[in-house]
Amino acid sequence: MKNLFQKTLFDHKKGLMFWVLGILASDLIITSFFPTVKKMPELMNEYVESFPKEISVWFGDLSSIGTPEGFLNVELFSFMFPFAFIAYAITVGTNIIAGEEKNKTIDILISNPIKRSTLIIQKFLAMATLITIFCFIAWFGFVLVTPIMKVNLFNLAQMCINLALIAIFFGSISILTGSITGKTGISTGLSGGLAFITFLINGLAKLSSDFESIKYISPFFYYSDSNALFNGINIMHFLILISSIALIIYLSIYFYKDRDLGV
Amino acid sequence: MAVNQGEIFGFLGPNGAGKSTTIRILLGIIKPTSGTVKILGMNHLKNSIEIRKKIGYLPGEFLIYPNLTGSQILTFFSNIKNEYDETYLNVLAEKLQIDLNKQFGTLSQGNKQKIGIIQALMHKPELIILDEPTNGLDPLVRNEFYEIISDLKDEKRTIFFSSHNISEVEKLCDRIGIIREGKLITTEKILELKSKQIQIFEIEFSKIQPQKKDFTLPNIENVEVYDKTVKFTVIGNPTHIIKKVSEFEIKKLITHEPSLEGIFMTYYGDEK
Repeated sequence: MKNLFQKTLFDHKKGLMFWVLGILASDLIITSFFPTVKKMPELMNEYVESFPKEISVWFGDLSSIGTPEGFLNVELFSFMFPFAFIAYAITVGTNIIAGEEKNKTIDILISNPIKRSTLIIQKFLAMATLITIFCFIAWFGFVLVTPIMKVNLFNLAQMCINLALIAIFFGSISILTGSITGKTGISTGLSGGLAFITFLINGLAKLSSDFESIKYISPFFYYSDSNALFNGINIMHFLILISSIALIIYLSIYFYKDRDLGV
Repeated sequence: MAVNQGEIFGFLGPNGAGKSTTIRILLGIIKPTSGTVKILGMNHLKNSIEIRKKIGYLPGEFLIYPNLTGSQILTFFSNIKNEYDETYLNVLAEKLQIDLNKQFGTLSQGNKQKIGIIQALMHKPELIILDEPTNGLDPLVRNEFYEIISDLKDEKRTIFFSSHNISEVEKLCDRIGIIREGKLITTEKILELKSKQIQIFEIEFSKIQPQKKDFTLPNIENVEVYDKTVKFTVIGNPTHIIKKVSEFEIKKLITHEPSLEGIFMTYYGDEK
C-alpha cells in the first residue's frame, strides 16, 4: 500500500466481493426468468396492462419487456441496479471521508505529510475505481448468461457506464457531505435522501408537462433519458454527469481543506 | 510558550485542560481561534506539509485501521512519510516486544499503543509530539519507552510530551508547561520547580490533640489532623511554625520534600 488510493482499494476488497456476488446472482436469477417471459407474450401483455401506465415513468417501458433490452431495463436498470449501485457508492463514499473522523483515524492520517486535497482526490479515485470494477463485473455477468438471453453487449456496456456514473455521482455527494460535516449519519442520510428525491423528480417530470423542465435537475434524467440499452450513451448527458461529479469533488476539497477535523 | 530544540518539554494538566486540543492545533487538524504557531521556524499553516515531514506524532488514543496488521500499518505510513529507517523500526519493535504480524484490531490496548509509538518514531523525526504516550503500557515496557526517549534526546531530537502522569514527566522532561482550562499557567524548568522551598511536616504530639484551626496560617497548606498527629505542607521559611509547635511536647517529627506531583498540587491545585 503505497498511498491512500491503494489503501482505500485494499480496505474495500472484501466488501466489494460480497456486493459482486450479490450482483452476479441477480444477473443470473433475473435473466433466468427471461425465457419464460418471452414464451408467454399474451400472459405478459395482460400482466403489463394490469399496471397503471404511470408506473413506467419510474420502472421503464413495460411494453418492451418481451425483448432482452426491455426486460433488463424494467427488471434491473430502471430501479434495482441504480439503487443497489448507489447504495454501495454511498456506503464507500461515507466510509472513506466521514468514516475517518468517526473512527478517529483522521488525526494520525492528517499528521502525516499529505495534503487534504490529495486525500479527497485519492479517495475519490479509489471509490470510482471500485464502482467501475463493480459495474464491469455486472456487465461480465451478462456476458456469461448470453446462452439464456442474447443482448447487445456493446449497448449493455454503455448502460453499465451510465450506471457507474450515476453511482459515482451519489458516492461523490456522500464525499461532499462527509467533507462538510464529518458525520457518517448525515453523509449517508443526505446522499440517500437526495438519490430518492431526484429519482421521484425524474419520474414526476414525465407525468405532467407543467413539471417537465424540473427533470434537468435530476441526475437520473441524464442516466436514463437516452435509454442506453437501446440507443447507447448520449454524449451530452455523459459529459453533464462527468462535469457534475468534478464540481462536487471540487466543492468537497473546498470545504474540507480548512475545516476543523474530528471535532 | 516556546520549546527549545533538543529538549524534552512536558505539557502537563488535568484531564480536559486542553492538552490534546493544543497538540491538534500544532498539527493543523484544527485551527486556532487566535494566535500563531511556528514549528521548526515555519508557520504551521502555510508550511504544514514541510513541517509534517519532520514530525512524529502519537495521539492520546491511537486508533487506526483494525483490518491491517502492524506491519501493514507501518509500511503504509512510512510510504506516506516517504522516509523511514527500517533498522530503527526493527530495533523499536524488538525493544517494545511487539509482533507486527497480528491484525491491529485483535491487539490489546498496550500493544496498540506500541504500534503507535513505532509509527511516531520510526523515521527519527526532528520533532516528536507525544500525547499521553504510555497509556496502557505495562511498567517494563514503560521503562523501555523511557530509554528510547532518552536516546532520542541524546540525538538532539525535540520532544513535546503531554501527560497527566507527573512522575513520568519528572523522570523525562527538562522543562514543563502547565495548562488549566485552556490557559497556560506557567512554564518552568523541572530543577527550578523542584527547588521551590516546600516541605511536608508530620508531627506527633505527646499530650495535646492538635486542632486544624491552629494551623490555619499563612504559607501553610494541606493540613490534615488525625489523633495526636498533624500533617501539613509549608511553603517558604518554616521558622514561625517550628516556634509554634515547640511550645508543646513533641513525640515525633518527620519532614520530607514533596514529589513533583506534590509541588504541582501545592502551587496549582486550587488555581482557577
